[in-house]
Amino acid sequence: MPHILKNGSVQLDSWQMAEEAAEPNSLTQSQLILPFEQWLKLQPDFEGLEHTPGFWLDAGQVTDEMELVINAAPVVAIRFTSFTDGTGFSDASLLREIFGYTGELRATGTLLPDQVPYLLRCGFDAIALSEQKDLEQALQLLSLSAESYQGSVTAPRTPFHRRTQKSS
Amino acid sequence: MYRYDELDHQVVRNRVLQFSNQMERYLKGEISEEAFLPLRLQNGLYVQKHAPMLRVAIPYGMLSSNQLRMLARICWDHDKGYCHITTRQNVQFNWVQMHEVPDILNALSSVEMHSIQTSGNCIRNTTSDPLAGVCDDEVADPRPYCEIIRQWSSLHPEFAFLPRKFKIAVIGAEEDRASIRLHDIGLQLVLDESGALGFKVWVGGGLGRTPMLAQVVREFLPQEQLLGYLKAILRVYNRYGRRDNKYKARIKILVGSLGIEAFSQQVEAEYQKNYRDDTLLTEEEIDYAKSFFSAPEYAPLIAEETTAPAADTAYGRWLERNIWQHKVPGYRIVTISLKHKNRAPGDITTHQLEQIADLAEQYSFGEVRSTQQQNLLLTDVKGSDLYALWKQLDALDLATPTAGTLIDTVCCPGGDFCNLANARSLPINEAILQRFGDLQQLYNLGDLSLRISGCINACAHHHIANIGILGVDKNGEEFYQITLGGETGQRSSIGKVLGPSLPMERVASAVEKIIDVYVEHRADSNDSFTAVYERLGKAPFKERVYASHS
Repeated sequence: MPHILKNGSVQLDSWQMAEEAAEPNSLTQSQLILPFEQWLKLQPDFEGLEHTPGFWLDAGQVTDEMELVINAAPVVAIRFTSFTDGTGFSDASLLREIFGYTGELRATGTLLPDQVPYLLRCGFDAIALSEQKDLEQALQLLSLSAESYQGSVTAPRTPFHRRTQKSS
Repeated sequence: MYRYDELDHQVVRNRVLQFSNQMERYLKGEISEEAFLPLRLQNGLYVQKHAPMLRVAIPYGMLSSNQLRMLARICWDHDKGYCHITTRQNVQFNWVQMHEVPDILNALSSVEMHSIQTSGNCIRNTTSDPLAGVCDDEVADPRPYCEIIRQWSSLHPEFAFLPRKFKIAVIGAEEDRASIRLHDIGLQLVLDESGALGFKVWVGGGLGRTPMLAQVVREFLPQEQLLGYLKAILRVYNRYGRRDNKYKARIKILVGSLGIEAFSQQVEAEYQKNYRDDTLLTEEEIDYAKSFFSAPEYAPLIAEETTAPAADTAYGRWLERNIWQHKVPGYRIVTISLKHKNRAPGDITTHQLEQIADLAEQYSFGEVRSTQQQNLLLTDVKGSDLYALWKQLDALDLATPTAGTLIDTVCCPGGDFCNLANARSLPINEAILQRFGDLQQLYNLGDLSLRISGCINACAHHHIANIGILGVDKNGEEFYQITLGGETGQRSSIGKVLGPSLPMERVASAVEKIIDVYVEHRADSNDSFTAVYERLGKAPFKERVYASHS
């Protein structure tokens, strides 16, 4: 079973990415992350399933319409097609800030461990990298990223906010 | 001047540690070239022709004497005894060793400097007016806002992997000494009818292959909304900017394709949707930022206190060209010229850096500024100290009395150093210098700008020069394209291509011919180059330059 980085540690991943549309009967057997189109189509039938499926989409594919349905997904995965394409960072921030998404938001696809501190601050809370050693590396880099000027999507701040709070 | 507190130190120190980790993994072969590329670029590290180049930020152009001494030490310990001041308030070390870069970053952090986001597809060093706080045409000092933007943009998690580089400049004065309309975002401090302070916001400027002047996206943005609005612009750009073609990836292309109105609507919609109190700057925060930029303790002086021994014509020339009026009576702003015939424009040696550090302490409250023209400024010099200062600068080859003249050339390192360059820029500069050695002739020409870029990345900003020269590659040979009529300052305009590119040996004489046409047609010495060019069009210039070869 592959690993993910979540809650500050590397752990086994209980979810399975369905790269292509999944067989409908597989929904009863595993925790699946479906392509968004399929997820949207099957969504009315999710009731009664032991594990409500999540969905995935490529970075840059977030649309305004998703706002209405997104909180029905326990997991949303954004797949980065290239580590130089930072669209997914804005996608995540948008999902959290504007769509008010509260479920698990995971980053997957082509990413560098060095990007993990940024990903977490944009609102991702689960990171799936293909190599476990990259997840370990990411953890090490996280320990060097404890401070920032902006905070995160969940606890944003203006740069001088804390300084003026302290002095007053 | 801004001083780091514990948070700043921690952010910068952590960055150095992260980069050391990345460099170690790279040198061990644990990171591919491809993966290391954006990581090193975000730390200002390029791989150049002869050696790696490290670009270090001079936030909004301000340097303290201590920082100058550290730059001097780095030049000595890690480079060849000199470094290079760029057009965008950065300093470049051209001969560093890869494995020594973490040590250099560490040394820089000890004097509150860094190279964070000085290259790569991210928000670059925020630039500003080098005369901020000392000129008299200012609505408000832009530097506190620059510092707020510096912190906000440093390691911003959402905007570290943009479609392309992103440059912001802020001014508070009427005259634009930071070329804000050539930036991805230009901010000009203005007052609204009620007297409230805010920004006029420009977006979509840039040079490169498709030079464009920025357009107004918001006439008045209340100052407290600055960061939320910047974020809205950046988010629209990050989501919708093109990533399929490097040359179409800047925000100017997005703005151009949508049109400024549609772009502006998208930004406003994004801003409204995401409007939150916690993105607003409080008055307290702004005051806190301002507290670092209060005026130094000027002595009460009489306005006209300059000692100019009449016999010393060299000093007289320097006074005429390299000194600017200060808003405080009795003080002057002094250009330290980095244009000397024996050095590339913008280059500065270890010894000069150390000496300038001392002079700044002695004469100008221990601070210098860097300018878009690749010079340095001492912004707070007593008129009565000018002669003594001049003598020392002159002895250091830092008093070439040519500021603002044709040979105050802005020039990139070009093909001699840079991997990106198509052609050399330094030999062109030398050839032009040889033809324009007569100072009286230069002074008669008055203010003129000449800028030479070795490639279309336009590091020397040739598009905004009265006479711009661009190196191009024609079947493996160096050729040069000339543009005329560019301008920055009171107004901004982008120069137009004169004609087919020229081989190296014809460039200097072409410049001479262009100047001849200008002089023949100007009404008087106040008739500027661009005024004449706009009146005449390019025909007479083109005719003269290409005459004998057509």
